[in-house]
Amino acid sequence: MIDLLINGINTILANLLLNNFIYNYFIASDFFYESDEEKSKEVTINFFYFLILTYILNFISLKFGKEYIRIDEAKYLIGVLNTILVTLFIGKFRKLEGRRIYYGTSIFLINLINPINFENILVSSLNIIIIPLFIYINLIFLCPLFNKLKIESKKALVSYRVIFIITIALISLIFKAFIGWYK
Amino acid sequence: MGLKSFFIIMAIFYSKDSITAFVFFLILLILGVLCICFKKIFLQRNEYFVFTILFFSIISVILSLGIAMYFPIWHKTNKTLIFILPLLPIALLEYENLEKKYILNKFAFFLRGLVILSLFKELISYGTIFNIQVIKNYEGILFFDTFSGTLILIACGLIIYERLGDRFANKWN
Repeated sequence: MIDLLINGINTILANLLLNNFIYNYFIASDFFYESDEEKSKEVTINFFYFLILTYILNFISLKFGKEYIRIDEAKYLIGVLNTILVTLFIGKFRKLEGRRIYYGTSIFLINLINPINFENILVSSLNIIIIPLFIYINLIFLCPLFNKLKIESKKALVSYRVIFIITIALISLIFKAFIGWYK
Repeated sequence: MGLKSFFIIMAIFYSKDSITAFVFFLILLILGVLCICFKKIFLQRNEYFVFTILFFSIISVILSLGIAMYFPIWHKTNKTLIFILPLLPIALLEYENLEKKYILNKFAFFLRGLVILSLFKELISYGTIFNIQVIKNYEGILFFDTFSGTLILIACGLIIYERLGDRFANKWN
């Protein structure tokens, strides 16, 4: 039991520190910056479904086509096709309110950066759980906090997006400081 | 995802060195102009969405195979560079109802920003431009070559854009 716990913490740490997690988070949150803040719950759930389905589809198609698909180019084309398929499929069941293209793009980018790792499925599948969680925290805690920081004048000194980018830069810098310790 | 988000993501991943940024500048320029000039074919939200994405991904595959044949070493380090191209028409969809001239100006503005950022980044972190030593006896601030350093540079660029962007916008119109 303790071994399992330690392994779990290790994979989460590896995900945060080493596996480009912050890139993924930035892409996803940059998309959410433009989306509706009021419907944050629905948006996060939709995003969760998108991530799960594209991950499973990519996993199946790459696992079964392992012998035939050897070039990276083909893998990316399959990624594009899978994203389109999932977008069309989810669009029929859930209300995406004209935002299906943006869901598709951010999911495709995340899949592009974090390719499926057949050897360590736990690490790559953790993104599915952690990214929506981070986005939810971002929408519930960070957005209202930054909105309060805005100076009440005609034009804010620095826009919300710039503050957000600087925050992510600082967080990633802190994570980077721990890489040596983690190794 | 508008053009601004698209170019922020571009700047994060593809501003490693000025040569990469310049190659990407040329590819983006050609495809962007193609996309804007044939607006009615590529920028139709409902009818041609799947066609557009497939068209651009096929172009990117052909391009990447060509690069892999003639520049294998460069291709190895920049594998995902070409595959980001299918996102270009999606980023341009925001402007489907606007005039061609306005979109072209905006696109060119962000493209210039990407190249200037990568040049500045290489200069500040290594003291070189296109791998040619510009500042002698310069040790370099390697912090700006990392992810967080790039993000801080992007933030600075965005502040300048927000402060001075309106002046440029007046000039365009």
